[in-house]
Amino acid sequence: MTPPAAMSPVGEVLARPWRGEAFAGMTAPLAFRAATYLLALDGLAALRLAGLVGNLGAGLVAVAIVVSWWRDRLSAGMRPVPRLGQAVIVLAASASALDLLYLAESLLDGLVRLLLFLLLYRLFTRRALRDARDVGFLAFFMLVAASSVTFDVALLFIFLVFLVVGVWMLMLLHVLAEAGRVAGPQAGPATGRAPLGRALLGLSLAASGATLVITTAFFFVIPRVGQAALPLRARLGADGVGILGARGAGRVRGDPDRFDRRHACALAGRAAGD
Amino acid sequence: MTWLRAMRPPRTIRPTREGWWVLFAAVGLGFAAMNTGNNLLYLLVSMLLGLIVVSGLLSERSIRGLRISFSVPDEVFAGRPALFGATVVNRKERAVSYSITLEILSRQGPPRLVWVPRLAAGEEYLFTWEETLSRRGRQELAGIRITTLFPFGLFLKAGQPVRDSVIVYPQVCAAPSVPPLETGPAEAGARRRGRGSDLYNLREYRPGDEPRLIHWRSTAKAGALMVRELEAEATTDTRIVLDGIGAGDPRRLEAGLSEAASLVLRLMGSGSSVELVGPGVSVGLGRGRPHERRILTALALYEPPAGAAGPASARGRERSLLRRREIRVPLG
Repeated sequence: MTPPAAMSPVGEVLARPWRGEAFAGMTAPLAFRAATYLLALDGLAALRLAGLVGNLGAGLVAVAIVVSWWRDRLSAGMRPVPRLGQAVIVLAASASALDLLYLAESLLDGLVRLLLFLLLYRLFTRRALRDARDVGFLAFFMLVAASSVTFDVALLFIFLVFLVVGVWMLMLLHVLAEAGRVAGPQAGPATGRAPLGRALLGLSLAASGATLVITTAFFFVIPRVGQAALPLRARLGADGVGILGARGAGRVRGDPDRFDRRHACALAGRAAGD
Repeated sequence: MTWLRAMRPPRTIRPTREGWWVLFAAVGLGFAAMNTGNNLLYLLVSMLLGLIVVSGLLSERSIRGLRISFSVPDEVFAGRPALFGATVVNRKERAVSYSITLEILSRQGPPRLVWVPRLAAGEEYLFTWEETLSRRGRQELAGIRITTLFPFGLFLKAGQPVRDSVIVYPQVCAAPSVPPLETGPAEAGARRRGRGSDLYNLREYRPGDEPRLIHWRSTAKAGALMVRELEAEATTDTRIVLDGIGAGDPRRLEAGLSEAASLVLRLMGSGSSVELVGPGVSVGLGRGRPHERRILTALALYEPPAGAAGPASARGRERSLLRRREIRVPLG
């Protein structure tokens, strides 16, 4: 029987590595950070592939991402500037608003630049687990942005990397968050059993595989469900009263037994012209 | 139906903040994908839905087959901290349970948490906690709930709370005064050696005697080490009589029961035989731990009876007590 564990208050465990929880010489927080950075680079690659970022821009952002890995070492020698964070936020918000409203060629371009700024801001200011989680979400939105403008098959590879690394990151995030929530003697492995890290890695790979299989199934099923629902949507659209979409209006007009206000207005206008 | 319970065990599922994000993103992207017909958007929606499904499967695999059993202490006194324990066992044949959080629920504050990173098949994990129950009587413990955020922290899945009850003995106060023994001349010979507090005899020191029992004045007089021998209180049979029914003043009732429980502990600790009588309560004469628990349980579960009843039921047995001491405890 496992010895009784003493209760302990919630604490911070990120400051120290998990005792004995090394896999391939890597502690859980380090593996988590590596996964976060891989996701960020994956998102950047998706944007580059979609042509939403040029070579120079992608290179600069990639360098910034890599530099942010040593953020602690870089900021150690610097003196803290009071209210720098607030100033940066105000400046960035103004610049983004200007970019979105006037400078950007399209709304998507402006949003991509905003995404990249937020990503770098989060990487350079990361302190807690939730900052890394935000990086993961931002990387996902980069994939979303890229998927709206590209049909490149290479995006599938990027998607696959995102899936595997994302699952790994989510699992590590969960484990570290739980260890932080209930820190104490049991925050590390409860007893001297087989290392959790290796088991967790295997489980994460299995989860990635399962997610991929289910994703594939959903990918084939959901569009068909959408197609199957089309007649229903068309009927609902045709029977609807009020504002109709362009397609809905067309269908109503095409039905000789129905009366359309716009059609009536057009007829009235024509009659007045005669 | 058993098979239906096995298929759908009672669980509560609540999305975390990340879970809500994923749900909103899936719905939003789903609409976008439907409207645009973009395959890559379909792929991303499918991935989010796949994550949700895998999260449900793995969390169920982790939480299923876990059983909790309580280890309640033999004696719990009101107002005194007691150490409770519980064991969680993984009764699955092969599957390992990862990242289980045991929530020790509390009526006063937030639950206390015990995190078990890994529990292999057939393995068990004992955890303990301290709790102070304020009222006497049969008390239901707030319970323990198995929860997990495994594997992605998107949903908090929780099983039903497991509860147990415990009999809480009345609060024990500082050593109450014990009235002197009523002894007749014929009963004086019944005194015997023991570990009480009264002096029984003085004799010469023998190896093994406790040094604290050395009587220095007699030693000086006799020129040899003399030790005190104490009288055993165990020779006394004591009847504790609950006086009144305690229906009028609950505080007086609790104070009376607390005094009675303290007397029981003091007397039985010194080896006395104790009997408890009162309105609707009667525990015969006896000694030892099981008897002590019987009396304390009777005190813990005491409720004022509807009709007034006195300790008359016990009077017939008075003659059977050779060396009796009757202590009356007013209940108000």
